[in-house]
Amino acid sequence: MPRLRIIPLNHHDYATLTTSAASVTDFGIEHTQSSIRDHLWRTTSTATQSFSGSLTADREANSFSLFRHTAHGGDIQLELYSDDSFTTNVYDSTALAASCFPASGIYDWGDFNNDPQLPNAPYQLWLGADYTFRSYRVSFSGTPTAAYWQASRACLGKAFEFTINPNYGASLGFATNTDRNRSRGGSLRTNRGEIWRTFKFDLGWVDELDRETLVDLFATLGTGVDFMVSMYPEDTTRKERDNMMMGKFASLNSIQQQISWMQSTLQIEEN
Amino acid sequence: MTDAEFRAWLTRDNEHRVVLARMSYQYESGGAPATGILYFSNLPYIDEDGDPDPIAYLSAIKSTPQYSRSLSGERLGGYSSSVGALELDNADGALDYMLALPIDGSEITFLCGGIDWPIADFRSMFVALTVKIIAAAWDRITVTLRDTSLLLDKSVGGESSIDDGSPAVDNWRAANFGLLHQLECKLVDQSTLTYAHSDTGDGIAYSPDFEQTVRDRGYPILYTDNGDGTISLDVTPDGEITTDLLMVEGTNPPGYRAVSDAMQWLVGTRCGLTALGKYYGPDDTYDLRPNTDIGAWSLDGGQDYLIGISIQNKTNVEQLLNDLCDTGICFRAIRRDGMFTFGRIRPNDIASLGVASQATIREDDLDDNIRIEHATPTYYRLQAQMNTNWRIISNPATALLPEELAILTRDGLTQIQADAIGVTYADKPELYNLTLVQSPLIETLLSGDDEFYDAEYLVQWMEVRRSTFLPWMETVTVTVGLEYFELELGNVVTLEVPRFDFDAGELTQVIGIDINLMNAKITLRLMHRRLAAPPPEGWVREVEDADNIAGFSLQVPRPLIPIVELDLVFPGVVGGIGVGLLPIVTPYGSPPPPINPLSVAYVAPILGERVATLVPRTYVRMARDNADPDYLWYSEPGIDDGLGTAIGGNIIKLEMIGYTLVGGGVDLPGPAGTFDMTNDLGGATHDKGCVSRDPLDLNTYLDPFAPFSNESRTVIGVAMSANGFMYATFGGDGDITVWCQMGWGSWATAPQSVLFNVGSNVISGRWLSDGTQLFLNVDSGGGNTGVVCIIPDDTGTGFTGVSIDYSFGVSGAGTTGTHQDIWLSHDGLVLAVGVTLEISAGLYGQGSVVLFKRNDTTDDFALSFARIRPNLSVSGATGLFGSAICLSEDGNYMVVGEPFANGGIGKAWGIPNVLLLSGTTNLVTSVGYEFTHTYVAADAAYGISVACSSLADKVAIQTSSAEDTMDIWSL
Repeated sequence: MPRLRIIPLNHHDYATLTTSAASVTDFGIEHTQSSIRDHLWRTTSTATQSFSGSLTADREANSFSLFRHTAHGGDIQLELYSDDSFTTNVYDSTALAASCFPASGIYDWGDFNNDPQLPNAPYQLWLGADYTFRSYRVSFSGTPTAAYWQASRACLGKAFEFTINPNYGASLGFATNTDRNRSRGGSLRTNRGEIWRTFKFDLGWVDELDRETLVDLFATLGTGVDFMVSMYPEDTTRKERDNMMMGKFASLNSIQQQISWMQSTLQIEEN
Repeated sequence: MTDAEFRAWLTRDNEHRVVLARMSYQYESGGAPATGILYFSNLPYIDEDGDPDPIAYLSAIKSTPQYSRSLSGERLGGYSSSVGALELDNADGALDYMLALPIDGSEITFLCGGIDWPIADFRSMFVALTVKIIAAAWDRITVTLRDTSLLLDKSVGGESSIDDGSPAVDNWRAANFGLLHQLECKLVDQSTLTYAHSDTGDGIAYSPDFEQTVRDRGYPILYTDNGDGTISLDVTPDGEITTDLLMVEGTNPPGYRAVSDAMQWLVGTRCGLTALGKYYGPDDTYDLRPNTDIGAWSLDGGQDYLIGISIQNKTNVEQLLNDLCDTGICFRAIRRDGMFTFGRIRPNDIASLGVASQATIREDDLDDNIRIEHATPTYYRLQAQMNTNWRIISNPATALLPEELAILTRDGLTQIQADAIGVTYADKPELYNLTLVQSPLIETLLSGDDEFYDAEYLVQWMEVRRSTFLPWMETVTVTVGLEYFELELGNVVTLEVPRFDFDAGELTQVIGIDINLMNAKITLRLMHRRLAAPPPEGWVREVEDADNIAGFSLQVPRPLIPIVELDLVFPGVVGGIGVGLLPIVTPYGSPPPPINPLSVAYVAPILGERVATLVPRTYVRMARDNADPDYLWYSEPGIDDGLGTAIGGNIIKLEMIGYTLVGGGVDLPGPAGTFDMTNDLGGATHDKGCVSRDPLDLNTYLDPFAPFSNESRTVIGVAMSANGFMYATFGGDGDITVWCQMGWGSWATAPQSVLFNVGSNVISGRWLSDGTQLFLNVDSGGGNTGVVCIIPDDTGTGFTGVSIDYSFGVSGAGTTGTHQDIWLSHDGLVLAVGVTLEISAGLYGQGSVVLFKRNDTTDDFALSFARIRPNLSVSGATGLFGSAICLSEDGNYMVVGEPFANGGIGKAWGIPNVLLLSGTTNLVTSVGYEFTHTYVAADAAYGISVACSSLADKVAIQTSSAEDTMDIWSL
């Protein structure tokens, strides 16, 4: 059973990107390399089109993710090439449904929508093996519900899977910057703000190999670089969907030496 | 989306509220300047309707600026504003480029709307100008802003030097405007005796009122007007040269020298200003309504406030505008859309603006019962027409009474007692921030050539008030929701605050606005006039049919002077229990008392005043509860204590001055009354009376149930001195006994004196003044003319015996003494005597009230100044007008009962401006407000007993037992 995975290095951020058709002005494909929520790539139509990335050196990947996209209803296809000119294909996912996670939930509160968060669901593709590549193409086809193809963040990389899962009690939480004030008249007055998810994992048993990786993760990412994290990879259900995010370490916790193993805590907040 | 829908959305705080900032900047395009726009937001937002492409707003806003505007100064003419900084998140350095943008003075607009709204539904909250952009920290870009006042931050002055042609131009002539007196003329050329008074010669005009005159040391001399701002003298002067000028520019007629003209004068080439606010194009510069062409100022120059101002070199325009407005008793301000506006704060006369209520919108911060009503849009225009109600009177000196003139000084105004309100709210500062300010209206009488404009207002305003009841200004600070973003300075606002009814429904004007978009709050500072006494008309019945009332609350104004007063009056007339009102104040937070379901009047002001319960058709027992001194104590009526059920006992008079309480009673129809003061109110015998208070310490109370004295006789009335140190009892045997304090520690254990025995005569009215004079309204009972007796304490040590200082007959006083009353105002200056049965032919039974004013010289009341008679066409010929009287504390408001008007139904009258009455006045056709009610009982005798609060804003009127009800009327 797959365990907690982190994709520390997002090759997409280092790729030279092109699109098969012009994007909307100020909605360029480079926005998918930014963690800012309102930096969006948007096409002018829902015609079949793609964006491509090429790298200057060989890279390995086993995961592709797309966040805050509007491709639901359409298909997404990932192709990897061993060269930088999109010639030698080493991986082809074929066109897969952009809604990769099934609708789920018991949100039956009167509006006939059992899964209100489904439109916000990310696209996640586990490649099943490590592929070496130097260029890639992501194609969009089919009929999405939106009037355009749009995405905020893409992630293409190789996952690190922890040897031992976190302790029981790993928590998925939420935080918000909503202003709240209890008025003199007793009303709870709020000024609604945005919301984001938080992860907190207690790593109760970190072996030496994971410890080294953990040190590298902290040193490489700090609290300012976002990465993809998935608590239940390849679960393929909403459970996986709810427990994956692009986020940043909220803090860098110490790695504590026990008798023959180490302990640490991961605290992550969503972009 | 309609405006109403938008406001409704603002009240729903479970929505995502997006704040957008559109920041314009300048850049070069094709060798020419062009305007670009940066888009920022606090939450992710995309304008899908952007043309040609959608516009993504960068959600980098950390905090939006707070836009604060306020009016200050004694006359509220000083406008000041501040716009806080716009903080942008720049942790990734993506906004570093902004530091190099040419952005100074460019406009930035803040909008508010929903996260999924089209941009067209967003509303502009306010407009500001960018001053500069700095990187206050590595992760932050700070944009400092101002409103369009920034455009006025420049200097103006005269355009010509005094010594034209000189290379050393360092002494500039002044730029003058309006009517100026004794303007100094500066020497230009000694050889030609040329002097300069202005930098131009434009607009110098002769006025029939103010002829241009040049004076040498104050004496007119011959001169030649050179038409260029200079004059030449014929002879060498002896001293300083001064002149009077009526200085206007252009083609305006001489009458155009008002504040509004000066503002117009500032715009244009004269001072280099395009506009005083945001410029919307020619002829719209001054428009209070954007995109509407009204040409230019549309003020009535004849009604505007005339000014004269000499502008020296390097005068700041903002400060100049503030000075102009302060002189003109108006204000100028920048609206949230950047436009210039001006108007007038009119706390003295807000009501005359004729403001009608508009949409009622929930106030968000206190509770759902609070409302703020906006002024109608028409008010905006009215506001611009300042001073429209001002009229000129010929001679203010004769219009004002001497005492009114005496207090119209700065020193007089300082008599206002700020602590009088500070105490009440001191422990709740977070709820109310009250500030007393000096009245701007009175200020106007002290300076300016046009002071007489104000005089009539002052006459109307001050004519009835005494020094301790000066009106005062109050500002109230309340924080409300963002839905009030459209309010502007000067707008009229009504607050309804159930917890503080003191402010409920009063018109206020906005003098300060702080808009905080990020927190969705707006803080308003509201000013309103607090009247010491109410307007003379407009009483509204609050309560009727007392038998059906389990209790109700009355609002009692806070007194301006820290005197706690309880004034219950029970005239004890046949069939009526009498009525009373309690204007008393205690510290905030006193718990409410138990409510007697039989109460006629339950007086429990919201602010925690003590309470008293008036019980119908039995005696009232009130005392201070020693265990809880914030309570007044009362007992249930009609208790059979073994001597018979007291079903008819009447408290004759009960007063509480300071914290002294006096009560008295008589048993009817129980056993023969023996007034035994040694028996306490709850003892074996019927209650008769008590006095309670330690005169040394107002916080210590003597046991009201262990009274101080013995007095075994039937007492039919008591009177209490205003200072609480003396009282008198009136026995059924005709004796009047005076009790007073022995020194400062205790009450006398024996009567101080037996003053007077009226024998078989009837004392129908009684009053004890401040303790030095006892007033009695005595009817001989034998068919002779009644008299008013004033018995003095000549020695200052108490009444030592029967000593009638003087008495005077009231013309036509009744023959039986029935239904006569007497009342003395608390300040001792006005005495009212009710005369119901005049013996003159044709007047018997009509009744009247004779008013006496104390003569300051002779210190007596020998001369009456007015006699008020009923209108027979309204009341009938035998209404017994004057059967009951009650004066307000200052003696200027009076309530008169006419219980047998309309064939016995009865009515009462509220009479304002008592001090201004003179001669014989027919009530209805000249003064008076009619309290009337229709009852079933033909002999209801409405008005058989009346009472009013000290400020006369509450009036209680009682019927006879045939109807057995009481009304409370309030303003």
